[in-house]
Amino acid sequence: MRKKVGLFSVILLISILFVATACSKNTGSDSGSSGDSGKTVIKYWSMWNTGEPQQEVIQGIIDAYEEENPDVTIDVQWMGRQVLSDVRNASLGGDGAPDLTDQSGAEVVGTLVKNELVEPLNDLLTMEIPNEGATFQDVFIDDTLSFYQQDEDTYFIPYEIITSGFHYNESLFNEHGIDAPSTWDEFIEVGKKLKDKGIAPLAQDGNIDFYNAYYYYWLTERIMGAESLLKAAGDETGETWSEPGYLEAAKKIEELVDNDFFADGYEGSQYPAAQTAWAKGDSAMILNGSWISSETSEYSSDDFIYRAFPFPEIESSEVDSDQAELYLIGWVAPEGSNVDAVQDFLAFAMQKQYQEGIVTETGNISTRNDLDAPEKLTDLKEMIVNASTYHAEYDRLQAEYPEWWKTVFLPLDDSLLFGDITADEFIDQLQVQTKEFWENQ
Amino acid sequence: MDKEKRKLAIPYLLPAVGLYLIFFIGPAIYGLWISLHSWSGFTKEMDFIGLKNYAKILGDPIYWQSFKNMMLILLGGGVFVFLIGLLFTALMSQGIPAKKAIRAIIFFPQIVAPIALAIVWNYLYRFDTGFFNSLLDLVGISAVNWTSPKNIMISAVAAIIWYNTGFYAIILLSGVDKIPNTLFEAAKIEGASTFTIFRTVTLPLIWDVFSIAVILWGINAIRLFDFLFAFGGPEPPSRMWNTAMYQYILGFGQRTPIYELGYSSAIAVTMVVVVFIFVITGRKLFQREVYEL
Repeated sequence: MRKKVGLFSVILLISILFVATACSKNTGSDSGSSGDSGKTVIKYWSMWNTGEPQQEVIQGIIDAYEEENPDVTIDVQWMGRQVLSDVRNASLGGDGAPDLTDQSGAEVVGTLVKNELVEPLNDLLTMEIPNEGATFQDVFIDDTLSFYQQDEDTYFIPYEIITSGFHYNESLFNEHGIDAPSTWDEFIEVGKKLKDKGIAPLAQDGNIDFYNAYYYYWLTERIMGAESLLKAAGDETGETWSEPGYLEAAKKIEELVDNDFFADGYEGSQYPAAQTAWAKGDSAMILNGSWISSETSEYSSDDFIYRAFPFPEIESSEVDSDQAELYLIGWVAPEGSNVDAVQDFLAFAMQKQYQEGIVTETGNISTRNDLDAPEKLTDLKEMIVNASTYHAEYDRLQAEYPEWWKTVFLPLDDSLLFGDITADEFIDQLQVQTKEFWENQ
Repeated sequence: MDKEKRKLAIPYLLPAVGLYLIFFIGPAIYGLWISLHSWSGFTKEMDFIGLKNYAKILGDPIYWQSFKNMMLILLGGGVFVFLIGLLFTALMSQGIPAKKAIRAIIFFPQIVAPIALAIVWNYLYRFDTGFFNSLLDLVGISAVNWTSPKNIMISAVAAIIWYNTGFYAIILLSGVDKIPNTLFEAAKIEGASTFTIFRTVTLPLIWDVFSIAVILWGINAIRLFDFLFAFGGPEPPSRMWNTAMYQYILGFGQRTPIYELGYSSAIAVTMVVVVFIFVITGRKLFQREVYEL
């Protein structure tokens, strides 16, 4: 009896271990390979959610591609904005990663490119776009395709351009005889004029810390030029923050707070309360990304005319004020992808007839140089096309120093924008906390 | 149980023990091991740094802020959850009408997903058109910025109390159900007040259930994530992180690619330590003679 029990116990334990091991092993997928039916399967995990306009446009492209290529199946999953965490985990697990995914350039670089979890798509650049005869790389707006290039390798294929600036309702400005400002002093004057008329000059959803960061980031861009924030963040001594431009930028935020330009309750405004109120005419301007028009259009009145102006020029600065922000959304092929199949699909997807959907259906700016921007974004596209230089959103801080960005900069920036600390305290704290941050690494 | 019978039980216990070891104890030990390394999760090799991640915690202001938020939920929230829960228990054990309907109503928030509740509470708290400020406006009081940096955690805890109280009240009431009615009737005949009955009859007889409910609350409050995460909006600001959120954001990045899995694991270990301290302290504090019915 004793022997039988012992033997049974051992067999049972081995069985459990066997089952657990089998469960933990990735059963694999037919990602990028030919399945039993002989079809090539491209596994695509997308950042879009079912029902979003971009999802519908991309689904249309997939349907058209499968119809023209009956030997290829695109196994798409609409994963939402945190898709790269799943891609990363799958990439580390072996062969479970998708062949194709999409997200913003900064997130792609920070998560996949910097960790060598991507495949280069260099051959795609010289491929021909079907039905057009054009070479792939020639259909993009200048610098957009090469913006995230690493050395000679291209990993990131952008299909949507986002940029940021001040958005306003032209009808409201006309009603009060206000012209869009181009310099900081003019901007302050516009704010005072609006305030006198009982309109809150600025809308701000204070619970989105990276929206709050637009002000300080743009001010440093205008005062000291691209990558000035990046330089200060990466200085392990914290000394760079003592350069006068950083304090000047903080003082300008203090000026906005002191003038009471932000709509009442902005510190606690939970997205999308403030932007909705702005669209309804409760406030005059909002510093935000180009997605704001599509996010707010259902709340805006019939006479609302979406216009935008670039972040004002700082008169004392010698930095060119025609630099523009490029915040690109695009495709990337994670490590282990079937690169040939992916490149073939992307060449197909970049056809003008399909990219038109990005403009007409999603209301965004396409990276194709032969497509106009949606009417609401005409000003923003002008900023991009006429820019002398480009910089990445938030000076690439999200990709380069994500922990510093999230745990040091954003909390202090919120305090400054909410008027809880002065400009001097902000700079002092940045100096101290940046140094401490690097000492702790 | 004789020796032979005990041996016979072993194969029956093995599946559960095996699965527990593989899927719980194993990963927990691995998490502890990861916390001793600097590791992004992207490489096969981890860089052993000993206790440096734990030393980093000591000087990390965001960690201590998140710890404070966790304690606010655990202790501040806990006091109100059980005060209101006990009040319900006292009233319900006195034979008030529509007992079952009231039970169903107070339990109702528990059947709604916390994420949906968080969105609803966000609307209630809105500064411009929110429910609470509309009420204040009706009585001529100026609007309160419920979700401002200074108020947001208190507002979140109030919502957490609201949706948890029913659940813990139901647990306490299940303890009351096992008390024979004759005890309450006898106390009433003796002229005891509602409060005296609750203090001298109800509470001592549900003490074991109460202590389990408190420990259950402690564990749930320390690891609370979903409600708070959704309440904070698309990317919650650091001022409303609790340690569970901070650990998640450091380890998995949310939309900011941080990926500090080693440090994140160290924070997770501190959460486990807090759970242990809470459970052990709770058991000591609630240790009393159990009355047999």
